[in-house]
Amino acid sequence: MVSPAAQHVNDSSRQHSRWPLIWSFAQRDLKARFTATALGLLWTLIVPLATVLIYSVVFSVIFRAQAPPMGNGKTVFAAWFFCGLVTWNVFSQIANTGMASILGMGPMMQKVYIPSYVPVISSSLAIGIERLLEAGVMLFILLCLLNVGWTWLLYPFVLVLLAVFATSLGYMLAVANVHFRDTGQIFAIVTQMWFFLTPIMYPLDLIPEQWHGFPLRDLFLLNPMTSFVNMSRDLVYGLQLPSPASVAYAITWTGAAFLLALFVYRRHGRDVSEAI
Amino acid sequence: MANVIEAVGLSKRFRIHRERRTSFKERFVRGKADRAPEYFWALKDVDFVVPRGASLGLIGHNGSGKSTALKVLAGIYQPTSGTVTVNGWVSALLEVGAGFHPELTGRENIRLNATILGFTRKQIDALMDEIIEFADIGDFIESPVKHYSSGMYVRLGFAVAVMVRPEILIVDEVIAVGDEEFQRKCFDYLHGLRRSGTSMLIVSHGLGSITDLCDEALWLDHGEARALGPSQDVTQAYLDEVNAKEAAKSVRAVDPGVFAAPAPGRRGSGQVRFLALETINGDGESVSVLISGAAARLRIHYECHTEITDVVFQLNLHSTTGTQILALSSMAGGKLHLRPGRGYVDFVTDDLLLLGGTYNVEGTITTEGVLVDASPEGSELTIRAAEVQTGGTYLQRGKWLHLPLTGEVNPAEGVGR
Repeated sequence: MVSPAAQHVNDSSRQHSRWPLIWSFAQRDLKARFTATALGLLWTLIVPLATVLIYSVVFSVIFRAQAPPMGNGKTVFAAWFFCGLVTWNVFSQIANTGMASILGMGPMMQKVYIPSYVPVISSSLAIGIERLLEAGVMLFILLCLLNVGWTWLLYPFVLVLLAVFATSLGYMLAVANVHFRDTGQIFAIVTQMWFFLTPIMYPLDLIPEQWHGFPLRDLFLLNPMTSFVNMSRDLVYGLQLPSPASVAYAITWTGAAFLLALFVYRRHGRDVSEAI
Repeated sequence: MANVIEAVGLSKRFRIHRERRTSFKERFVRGKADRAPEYFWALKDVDFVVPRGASLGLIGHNGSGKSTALKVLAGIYQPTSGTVTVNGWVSALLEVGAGFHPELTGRENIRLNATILGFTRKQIDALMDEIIEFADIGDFIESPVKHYSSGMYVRLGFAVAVMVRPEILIVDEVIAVGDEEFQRKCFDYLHGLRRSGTSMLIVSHGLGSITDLCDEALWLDHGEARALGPSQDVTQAYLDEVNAKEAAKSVRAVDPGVFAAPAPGRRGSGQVRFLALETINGDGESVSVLISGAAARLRIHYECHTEITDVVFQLNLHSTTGTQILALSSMAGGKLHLRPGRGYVDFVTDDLLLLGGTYNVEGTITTEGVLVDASPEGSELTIRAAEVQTGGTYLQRGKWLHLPLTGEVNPAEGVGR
């Protein structure tokens, strides 16, 4: 809503970095999350572990789903599923909390100037740190199963790429959420569909290549989350290098999302505090 | 650069949200708003500059765009058109509790606010004690600010905003919330900042503090700049207009107001009852507001039911805090003899020696020390200042003289009261 001529110029000598601020908000989030409940930190681990248990029982015992073998030749459905779930959780939680973060900071943003990306990045930092614990537990389990390889060293790069992708998406959703308050409800449905359309609890091989003439499996491969989940599994579960195609695909999606978020920030980022 | 703030053709337009679709669901169910959006110009083509070290006051009635202007300068709003250039780092205190997070303690909020302003951990640690000492809220500094009183909010907010020693300080009508002592402390500190070269931008309805603290004042009226110049002149022009407007609209019929509240429960023996208190200016017009230092007439309308002698009317004026300011008794003009019917008694003065403000008026009618009628509580008398006043209730006439140790006696510049 700003005409090109309008501008607010601040060529202050004190153009400071926003990272201390982002970090202090993130610390606040983490502190609030871990001190508000009696079990604190444990909750962030109990919930995904329970999910892994439930899904593993349902899918491997009842539906008799088969997971591909680990790098060491054995097959453990729960470990395979956990690996995909960690990747998914990083994505969905960063995107969802990011979406709510600007509105959550509302009263403050009306009184002091805080760039609109600050709450989004700090919430994704906080979530990211929390999810690292979960990833740690997953790696610990794989370690106990004696499934370790040098490819683990590449895993952090996938997580960082995924975090950038999710944060960019979260920022765009957060701006939309300021203008349309039901963005959250819509995205909750989208997230759920997206979860089931990503091969997390079933292997991609289970999807028929052709279905009534549709190249169904190729359609599944269009989903960027398929690439992220497959890359993570290859590195920590299968102990092999992911296919260059999926790496290139994930990087392309992340770059596109980041540029789009940057565009949204330039275009609408300054109007946010008015619309809150 | 000589100017810390330059605003050229600054305009800000808001959309009036009569039927704003704030959800996709509404958008979907009811379609796009069919009416063309309506706009409201909060600021229209306003120009001003603040030279380095100078201070500018913004005045105007409610809704004139003062706070919007500050928010644009603080970077919270983007101007719709025009440019704003800010050369220097700004600390802004907009509304009470600027940028506080309710769940965090006072100390944590200080840290957070200073971080927002770009301070490093070390710098914050160095400032912390000073800020806490200035805010002076005792042990509350360790409890979440959601438990604070509004006074504590202001104390902490002000302390953070000023102790960081900004190059440009923006303050929006917040000091008024604190108690007398804290207000004085704030003003002293603001004076100190001003002397040390901090540029300031202040919004206040207290015209006294504007003339006191600001070199120049900008008078905004419905988003447009009405006057920009030395603060003394601009505030005086603003005050003159406010008074003229009040006078224009206050020619009216006698308003019985609270003076003629329902009979049941009314005290006194009741032979005579108050009907209304009418305020009349020097031109004989019935007005709602009297002007300080001008002629005034207080007319008490009554209704007498039975003939009665030795009647005394009395008006007691109290400040809003309950201190009695004065008592006007008709005894001074002799006791009255009233016959059945309606009538009035007047108190007349050429020179109303009360300063601007709102006073509570209570009227009593007595005969030989026995209460006949008392007006119900809640009647107010509003007096408007004719010139900028600094405080108190009494308009002392006189002038200041400056007597040097040697040489001739020199009257210093005359002070009006």
